[in-house]
Amino acid sequence: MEIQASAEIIQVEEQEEIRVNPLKKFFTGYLFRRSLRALLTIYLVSTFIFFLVRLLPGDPVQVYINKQMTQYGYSYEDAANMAQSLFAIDVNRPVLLQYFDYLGNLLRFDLGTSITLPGTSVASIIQSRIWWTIYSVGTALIIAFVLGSFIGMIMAYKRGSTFDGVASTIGSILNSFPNYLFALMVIIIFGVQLGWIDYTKMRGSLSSGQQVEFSFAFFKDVIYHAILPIMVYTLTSIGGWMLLMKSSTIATLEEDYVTAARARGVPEWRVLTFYVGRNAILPLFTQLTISVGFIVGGSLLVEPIFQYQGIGSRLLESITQRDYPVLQGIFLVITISVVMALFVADLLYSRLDPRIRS
Amino acid sequence: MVASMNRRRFMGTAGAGFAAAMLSGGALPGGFGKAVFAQDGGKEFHGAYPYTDPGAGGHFNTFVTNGILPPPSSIYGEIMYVPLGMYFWADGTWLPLVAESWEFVNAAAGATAEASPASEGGYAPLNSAPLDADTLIVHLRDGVNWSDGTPVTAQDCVDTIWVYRIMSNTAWKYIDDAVVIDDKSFSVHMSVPSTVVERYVIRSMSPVPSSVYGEWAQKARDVFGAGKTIDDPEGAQLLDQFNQFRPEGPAPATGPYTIDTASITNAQMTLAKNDNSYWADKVAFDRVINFNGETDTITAVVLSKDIDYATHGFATATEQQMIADNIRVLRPPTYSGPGMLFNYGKLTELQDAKARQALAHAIDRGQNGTISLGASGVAVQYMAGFADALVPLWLSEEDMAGLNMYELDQDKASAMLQEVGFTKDGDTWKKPDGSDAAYELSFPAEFADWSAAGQDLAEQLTNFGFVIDPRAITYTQQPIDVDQGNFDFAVRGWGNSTNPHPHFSFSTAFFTHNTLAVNNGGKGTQFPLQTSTEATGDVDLSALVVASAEGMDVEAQKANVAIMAKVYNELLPAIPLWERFGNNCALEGVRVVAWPADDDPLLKQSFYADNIPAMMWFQGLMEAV
Repeated sequence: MEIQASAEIIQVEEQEEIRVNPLKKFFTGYLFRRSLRALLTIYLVSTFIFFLVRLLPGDPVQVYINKQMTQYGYSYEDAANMAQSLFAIDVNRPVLLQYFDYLGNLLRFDLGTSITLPGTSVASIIQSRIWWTIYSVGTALIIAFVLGSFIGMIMAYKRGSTFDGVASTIGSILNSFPNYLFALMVIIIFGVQLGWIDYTKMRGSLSSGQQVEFSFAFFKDVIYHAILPIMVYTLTSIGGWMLLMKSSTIATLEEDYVTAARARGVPEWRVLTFYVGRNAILPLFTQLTISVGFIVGGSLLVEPIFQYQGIGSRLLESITQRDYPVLQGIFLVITISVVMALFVADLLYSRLDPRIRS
Repeated sequence: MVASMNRRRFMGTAGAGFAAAMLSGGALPGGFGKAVFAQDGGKEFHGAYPYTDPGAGGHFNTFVTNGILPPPSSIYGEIMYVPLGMYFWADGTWLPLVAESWEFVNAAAGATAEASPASEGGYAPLNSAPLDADTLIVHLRDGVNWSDGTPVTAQDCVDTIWVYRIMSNTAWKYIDDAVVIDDKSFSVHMSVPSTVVERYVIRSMSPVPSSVYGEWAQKARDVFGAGKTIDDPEGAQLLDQFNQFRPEGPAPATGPYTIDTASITNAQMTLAKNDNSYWADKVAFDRVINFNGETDTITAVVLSKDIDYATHGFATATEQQMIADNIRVLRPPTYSGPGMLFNYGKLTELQDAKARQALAHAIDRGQNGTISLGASGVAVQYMAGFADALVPLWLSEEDMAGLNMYELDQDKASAMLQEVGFTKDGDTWKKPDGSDAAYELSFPAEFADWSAAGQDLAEQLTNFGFVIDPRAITYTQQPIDVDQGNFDFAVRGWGNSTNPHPHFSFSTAFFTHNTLAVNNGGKGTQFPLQTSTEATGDVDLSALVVASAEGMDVEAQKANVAIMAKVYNELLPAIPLWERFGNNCALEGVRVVAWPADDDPLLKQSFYADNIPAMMWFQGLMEAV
């Protein structure tokens, strides 16, 4: 009887638990914890950025005055008068007050207005630039990932061959090349020296006179102008994917199930693609997810070289001009995209491996 | 299976589409080749000057930051909004443009407003200015129209001057009113009569149309004419509103070119011919293509021979490549350059001018210039506090002969140092207090030429026996450090590129990084402005600098300039190292027939201030291929 009673009690408790579970489960659940952590990260990073940009030497007014004096030879008086009229900014306002203004605006989803472009909202500046970067860097990321993974898999499969040796060397060289240096070399060698590419015509994001419209001519022009940046991003990142995929594939090739498949007489191409490739590529997805997060900020030095109007070149201008609100806005967008990318990666992994949730 | 097939089909289609688009876009080798500009057979001029395109926040209010190609600071702004006149730096005369003539008068003496015809060049109205003049009267040229066909009137010019009042233009420190006399004449009243008003009004205030800016001029008259200043709420509010004023398109222009708005991208824009312009028949090109970008992105375009003229300050290696590629390099002056500043508050042993004179003798300024900027880094000769080319215009031959050229003479330098208490221990100099003569020398890291100057200077002084620690500091921080007094020696600028009057160079020499730093809460160099010299006795440099630009008596100004030049030459508050000359690319034979010969007076222009192409166009001197 006692056993039966206790069993009933347990059953009732379990039923009650089931009844309160949805809310309790949500607040104690993995998704909630990860969301909270993501929000906290965004808050802390944005706070850090707020103070960090103000630690940059010089403020917008000083930078402007010094530039006018040094670059254009204006007298201090002329330069200071110009600065006074151009910048409606109180650089002496206490930083804490500026910080509370910043937080208050953020809560209203207001990123503020640019210092160097009076009347222009930071949101509109970001919105006008970010799609160009997502398009160019994103396209390059996809191409580099797909091609790099494929070549890396072949390298592992043909381990020790001439192809492996050559591809590993090229991959290592490409992986170690800074993208801005590669961009300059492409322009100087293929544009200026050999004359194979018309750099003058390919600069920028659109040709002169080309309107933004839904037409074949527009899309053709967009692709034409993005080819050089995409090529540079692709070639300077493909080496990393090749080498990563190679090492991952080699590890997978040594798994028992691959040996078993071969022993069963499964065709080699099937082993390579379905048994090895699918499993070897899994670790690369973590790296891919992080790279996706960095797409919006990954073009700081390359975009100015190609005069490409992405967010990276705007970020560089904002750093140079000490345009604090634009700097904060762009860094915030980068932070959110990286945090969200990692958040999505965590969720995907928790699906793939439930042990992570505990 | 179906899903798999769909995915494959999608990827295949997308890949083929991408390749096709690349081919049709001319991206693959089949489509490569030089850009085909001017497909209609029109003649083009290709220039380069940075601008912010509308997509990035650029706009058509040319008074405000990020206005597209504003005059007078951008070369190509001037060929749209022509100034009243431009200045020949070689001989100090004028090229009248929108203004036909101008004169200084005393309003109370009942001056007339009759135009005195001016020649196209060599016009020098200051020579006939009465000493008690308090008004500048300007007479406009007949036949100058806006691109919409309406004539340019005095009202347009007066309104322009009042709009500059909103922007606190320095001219308004000297003037307090501008009014229309008749349709083609206006007057500017000087509250502080000064010859520099001529340059501010005639050169720097290119007329813009009242049809666009008239209402702002009226608001400025209402606010500032009532005695308010920019610090009053009404003034600040007007400034804020004007900063946000965005005309829908470019204002009608007077110049031979106007902006073709549809052509603007972040890479380039086209200036189309304005057939209504007074100067339309003087220019040989149907359009001007302006390429956007700073040195890093423009260099390759220059080397591809797609640019006819650019003033970007190219690296010495780029310059060598230009010469190898038969691209001519023009070297007009900037009337400024880097010099060596001292922290007098900290380094008491350098307070004696003889110590600084010794250092001037110890430094090979020619070597420093050549190492830093090749043939464009030219050693300063007269050490007068302003550019060598201007010295003969302001100093008599006798005064010039009295200036110490500070030739390289390290034996003399050693003897002079010993006279002021320095001693030498082996190869190392000791300060009068017996410690090593060890100093930190800061310079801006990002300016390649100034950075090289700093490195070479450190090496030269180290070889001479000083212990110099060269320190490259980011260019935004270094001037702040100097203003705060956190430095020993520093490489900073001397001279002035925008105004030929020596007053502005002396202001840089004695006020910038000195009294102005103190006014802003810093310490600066702490160079005393009440001082005594062997050449001139006791002097108040502050009063002399101000006096050198005041009044209409050019001869009196010259006397003050001569005193200051002697004082500067003796005291050397900073040691000018070299003058920066341009290394401007000037392509010949492709679109432009030829640029002026190296000895042409036009190449004496301060090329950022009164730019060479614009002056050639306005005089019809540039031929198209």
